[in-house]
Order: sequence, then structure tokens, then C-alpha cells
Amino acid sequence: MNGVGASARWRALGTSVVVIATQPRELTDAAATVREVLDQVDHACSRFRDDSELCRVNAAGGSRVPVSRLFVRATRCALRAARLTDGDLDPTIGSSLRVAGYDRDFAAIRAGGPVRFARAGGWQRIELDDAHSTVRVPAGIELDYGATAKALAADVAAATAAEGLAGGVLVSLGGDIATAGAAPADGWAVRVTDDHSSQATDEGQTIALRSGGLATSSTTVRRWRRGDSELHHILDPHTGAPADDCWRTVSVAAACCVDANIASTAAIVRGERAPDWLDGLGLPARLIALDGTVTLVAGWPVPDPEPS
Amino acid sequence: MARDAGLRRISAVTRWLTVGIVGLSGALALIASQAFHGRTASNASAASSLSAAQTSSAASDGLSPATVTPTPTPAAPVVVSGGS
Repeated sequence: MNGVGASARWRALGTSVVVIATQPRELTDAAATVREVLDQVDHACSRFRDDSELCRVNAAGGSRVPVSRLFVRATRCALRAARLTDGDLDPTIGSSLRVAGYDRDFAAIRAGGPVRFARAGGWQRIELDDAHSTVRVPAGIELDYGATAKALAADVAAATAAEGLAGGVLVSLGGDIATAGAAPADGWAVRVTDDHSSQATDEGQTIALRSGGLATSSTTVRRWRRGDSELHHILDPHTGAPADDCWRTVSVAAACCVDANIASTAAIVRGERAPDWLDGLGLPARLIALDGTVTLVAGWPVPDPEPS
Repeated sequence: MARDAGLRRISAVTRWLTVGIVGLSGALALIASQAFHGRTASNASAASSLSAAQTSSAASDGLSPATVTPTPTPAAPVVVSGGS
């Protein structure tokens, strides 16, 4: 572990999980806490299990549905993302994803018929009753919290796992990273690249993360074919079609994983407008164009020359 | 004559007092309404039910940068951040 503690790895929420504790003796407790949080988030927010709260809300035909406090929190998080991005992230994108063919766990997607697109139902139509823990969406609108729930899970898991521990904790869910507690003296060394399943030596940049979260969104992963079209999973809610290919990968560092993930995903959707938007927010970011050109904004570190 | 003039002065003073009291009452009511938030007469469920649009105007929090900006490092990475 390169002198930064001990790690545990497994799969959950349809992706890989990495937990690192700076104090090796605290790893077991930290990993157990993370497992518990991820199980709760999966039960609340999964679009691919019929018994999830999200699926119950989607199937309620416009009725108000009692939900857990975790689901309320996830809904607030998704609505905040929509508001802060002017709808470039929209939790009512569920039917758009289904129509485009992403209607089951990604590993089970097969090539289908001709592609169709349907714009998102409109996040303003979600009714959240925070005081009574209920959610209602009009019939026909389907929620999908894929743009925020994983990052929220990382933040909650890291913060919960670090409670009462002497050392720090890093949680990575498919490359969306949250940290809590005391970071290693030299920071958490993170390789930023196109695909979270890449090797640490693949093309990219290694940075030291000392606080907050880091997220990377990319159109190079989760691609599938429909008819003659090749699609990717980051849809523009305003059209329901995959976002234009301007940036293939965007990484953002922020105060928490949720904010980093909101910014990185919205940047893919925003295309050419993204660098100015991120710079205005003061969010350090690394944007990779389709041709591999790198754009760094808001103090993202310029890479040191790497040994050949 | 003097009596009529006196009555007119009393009448004018009374009118100005009335206007002043009404104005003062209004100002106090305005101050009180801003100082003490109350509940509407509508039922609790309706009052606490926030649509997304209402929620959007309630908070002004934005996306926040990390307290410490990332730096380059020659260290071997412990984890990879990429698309998933």
C-alpha cells in the first residue's frame, strides 16, 4: 500500500469498491461500515432492483410514497444537482435511459433495435415532502439517481467509516472518491485517467488529494450499440440523447465527492462551455478532449514530467 | 368665533392623531410580521410539502472547492479515478 495504510476491494452498486484506511488495524471496521452504507444506498436508490425505494416511487403511478430518510437525502441531493446545473443533470432522466436502451444493469445490456430518444420528464415536477418523508412523481416520469447516488454513497460511507477512528479513510466507488479524517502526510496519491479500471501506469496523471472528493466522468466507458448508433451513458436531459462528444473525460476536485461528481458530469453535458463554468466556480478540473488535448482549469496541478 | 376656531383646531388635531395612530399601527404590524415567522392557516401537509421548484429557491448553496487544492506527486498511486 505504498506506506499509506491498508486497503479492501470488492464490487457493489454495479462497480468496484476500494476502501483504504491510513491505520491498517482500522481497515476491518471501516470496510464493514462502508459495506453497510452501500447496502442501504443500493436498497434505496437502485434502478435495477424491484424492491428499491426508487423503483417503488417510479411504479406508484403518481401517488405519494413514504420513503426512508436516506432516500429523502438522495432526492435532495439529486434536486440540488439539477438546480445547480440548470437541469444539465436531471433525476427524471430514468425514462430517457430506458428508451435509449440502458434499461438493465450495464453488464446485461445487449444490442437492440433502432435508437430512440426522449427528453427527461422535468426535475421541477418531483414533489419531496421532507417533513413527512414522502416523494411523488407524476405518472410516466421515472427517477434515476445514477448521477448523484454513487457519489453520495461515497461521501456518506467515508464520513461514517471515519467516525471514531484515529486515522483517515478513502472510499472509491468506480473511481468517484471521498475522503474523511486525517489524510496521509503526502496526501492520497490518485491516478486520474479515462477508465477507473485502468492500470496505474496507463495514460493519465497522478495527483495528491488532501481533502474533499474527486470524481471523473467519461464517455469512454459504458458504451453500447442501438441500431447503427453507438451510445454512451451520459445523456443530455434536454434532448434525451447522449451528450455531444466534446470532452471524453472530465475530472474535478471539490469539497466532497457529490460536488465533484455533479461538476464532472455536467461538464460533459455542457461541452465547450464547461471550462469557463468550472473556472468560475473555482473547481480544479482536468478536461480531456476527444483528440487527447488536455485543458486544466482553476488550479488543477500541472503535471510533473513523468519518468520514461 | 373663538369657540368655532377652537373646535376646528380640536377636530384637526383629532384627524392627525387618527392618521398617526393608524400609520404607527401599520408600521408596528409590519415590523412584527417580519420579526416573528408564523405558520399559514393551511394544513401542515400542504405547508411542509415542497415542490422541487420551491426547494430550488430555498437554498443558495453552490458547488464548493476543496479546502486544499490537489498537487502533483511522484508517489505511486493508491487508487485510480476514471469513468465507470
